[in-house]
Amino acid sequence: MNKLARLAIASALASSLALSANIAPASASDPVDGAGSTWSQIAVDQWRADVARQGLVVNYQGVGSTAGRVAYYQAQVDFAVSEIPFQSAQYDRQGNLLADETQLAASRPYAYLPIVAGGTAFMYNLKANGQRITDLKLSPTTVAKIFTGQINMWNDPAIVADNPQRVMPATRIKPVIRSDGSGTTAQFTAYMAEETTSDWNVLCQRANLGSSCPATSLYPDFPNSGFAAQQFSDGVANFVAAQYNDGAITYVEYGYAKERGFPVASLKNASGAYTQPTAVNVSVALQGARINSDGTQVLRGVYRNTDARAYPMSSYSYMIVPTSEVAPFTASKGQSLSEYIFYFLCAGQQKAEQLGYAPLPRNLVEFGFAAVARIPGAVAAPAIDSCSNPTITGGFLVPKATTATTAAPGASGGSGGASGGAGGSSSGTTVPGATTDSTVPGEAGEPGSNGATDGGSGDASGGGAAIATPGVAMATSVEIDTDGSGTSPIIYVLITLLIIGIAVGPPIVAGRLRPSVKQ
Amino acid sequence: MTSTTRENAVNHVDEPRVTPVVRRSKVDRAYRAIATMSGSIVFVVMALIGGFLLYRGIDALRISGWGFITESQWAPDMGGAFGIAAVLPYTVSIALVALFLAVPISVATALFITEYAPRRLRRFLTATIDLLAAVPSLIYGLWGLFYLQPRLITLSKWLADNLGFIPFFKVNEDFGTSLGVFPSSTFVAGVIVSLMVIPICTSVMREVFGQAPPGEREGAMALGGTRWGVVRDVVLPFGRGGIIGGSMLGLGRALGETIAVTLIISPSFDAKWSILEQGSNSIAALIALKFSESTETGISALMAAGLALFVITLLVNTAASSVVNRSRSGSATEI
Repeated sequence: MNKLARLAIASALASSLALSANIAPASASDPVDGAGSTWSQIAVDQWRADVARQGLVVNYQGVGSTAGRVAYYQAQVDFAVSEIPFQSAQYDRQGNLLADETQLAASRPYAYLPIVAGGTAFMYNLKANGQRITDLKLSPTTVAKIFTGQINMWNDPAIVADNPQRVMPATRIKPVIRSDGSGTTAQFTAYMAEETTSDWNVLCQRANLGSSCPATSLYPDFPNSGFAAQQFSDGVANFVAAQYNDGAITYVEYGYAKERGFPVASLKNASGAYTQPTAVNVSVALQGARINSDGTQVLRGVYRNTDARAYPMSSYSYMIVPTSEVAPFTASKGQSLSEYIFYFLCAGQQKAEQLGYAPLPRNLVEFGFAAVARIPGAVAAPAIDSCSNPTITGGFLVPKATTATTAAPGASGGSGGASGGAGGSSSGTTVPGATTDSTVPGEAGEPGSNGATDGGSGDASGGGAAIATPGVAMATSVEIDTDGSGTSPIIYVLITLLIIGIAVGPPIVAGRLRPSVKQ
Repeated sequence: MTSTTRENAVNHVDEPRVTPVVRRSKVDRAYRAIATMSGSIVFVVMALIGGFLLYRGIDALRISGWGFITESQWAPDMGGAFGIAAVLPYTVSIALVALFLAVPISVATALFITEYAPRRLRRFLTATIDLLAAVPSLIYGLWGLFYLQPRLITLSKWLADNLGFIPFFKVNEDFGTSLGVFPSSTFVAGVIVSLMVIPICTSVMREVFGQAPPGEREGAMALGGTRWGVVRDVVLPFGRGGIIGGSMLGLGRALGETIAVTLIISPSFDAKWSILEQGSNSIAALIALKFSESTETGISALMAAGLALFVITLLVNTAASSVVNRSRSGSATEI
């Protein structure tokens, strides 16, 4: 419902802006129009509002990645935002060509640039002996097997192997997927298609899509999968958080789990450490991103980043910008667009974490600068060192050498009670009311410690420098809500009652006051 | 007029001597033109919607062929097969669950309002029912999602445990019988849709029941009939058309209900008998969910699904309005 409201407002705003732009075309800078990803929309809208104060008009409609890419090659918008690049030719089972986006987009030359980054977090609701488990660890292969229907029980040997510190309950796993098209799905499936290909192909076959299939924004379900599907990030998060859904797990942005006081699984990265999808860990992982000659980005270096802090399932969405003046783009629009891009690649990234994303690291900012240089009419890029991106200026990312102390990023927040890998079923489970905030600055594991499984000191962001930086403080501990339901449903119900009251009240009062008419 | 008739009668001439010439003033003609135009706009819009859906959906229909009716999977974006063989039955079953609950309640409410309620209460109830019909479906959906759903699942579980021998109430044991199996089912969605349908059905039925001829009503009373006797022998036979028409209008709304269903269900593409188990679907919800990230083929397929829904809803509503109209003219009464 949030999304609907946003869409409505955005479209109303866009149309009114478009109208006013028609009346007064000779403004200081030409407005630019964009469309695409809803996943990135929160950030895009925030940055739009920021630059609007400087008289820069950027219109954006969150219509979905695919619709954004279509709008780009149909020349309806100046730029598009998408989680996945233009897709190459797809065929149906009879071999008929369905769509070849790269070919369709060829008439309007483009460049990709990174816009916002984030990690795919795995929020879960799992109890053992009546107490919520908060220190679940998973390897990416296990996750892929869960979400392709190959592992059905929480005490499966693969999960037990990842979690030697506790006894896993014999609860059925209920994977919760997104029923609507979503960037989160695109990023998750892109990871599986690239890194856990054989498991992903199992899903393709079960869903009757051929022996293999590409990453997609619409999660493929198959008959009798036992998956539940819900709409929007809010929907899956609320569903998993519901009291009756013991054993549920979903992929969602980290912020939605934090908001509801639910834990997210720590994922095993290439170095063998288990990490949480915090902004720092995502930014660290993205330092491994490489760029292809065609402008698409290779995330293998991210997925396999050997930094112990790296969160492996990290990704970012693209902005697709025109590199020629094919209509409707012009050089003066190029100027506005480039100013907007420089704003969000640098100063705008300071807000990334607050908005639930991770700031783009230096290498991706440089990719962005290189792409902007190809936009017609673009202004000159600022010097990279004067860019106020927190990963460049603020000490947000501490170079690897000085943070060997955080080699034990394993346990999720709130697992302060877990010591030495004890296997008791209650160890590491937070006692109600005694939520531990284990992220004490400077107290993150012993130097050089490699004990990923028994690092009870919380999160990888425990590096002192990261915490000491003003404005980028991390909230890493997971508050456990004991009754399992947040306050939001009550608020929704109250609002609903209020609205009904406003609608129903006056006529009833009026009816009561009116003198009764004899028939 | 009268004089002409008399002359005809006197002279025994069948042909009218004076051809009546209708002279319309300019204002008359302008008014007539505007009224005709407004009236025909309805048909134009209807034809345009149908035509548009067909035009946009034809590509997908060409790809799938008859498979569009027989295929249950929905993967037009990935080059897979797609069809409404699962979505359509689910859509209908949600609507039927809704009607199954709504019709008895609506009939009883309408009877109470027209026959039993004191006059002051009658006005108040009528206003409330009409207001309920005006509450947006999103509100029903939110209330259903946050309030009703967690409470209904205990009933679902009870039904599954005690009436599991009926195929509709059977739950696949593979997924366990914990409460988590029940929240996103056809049943829960149907209950919430029934809440939206009740006001519509009740309004139509109340109106028809209120038109039961006072002569027959008083006659039945005079013969010593009880109030229930009057209801049974006068009001219900007279209002039969209203009951059918109201239910059909409710069915039309239930078939097209989008937001509330989208919020509740967990879309599934394998048709099954159980209405209690997780997994359901509806064409309207499918369109709402898949639209934003669909490829060209996907959107075309959604348009084709929309066309199917459009045709079915149109048929249901046409049938309903014809039944309601007949009942209003009193032809349904056998007196």
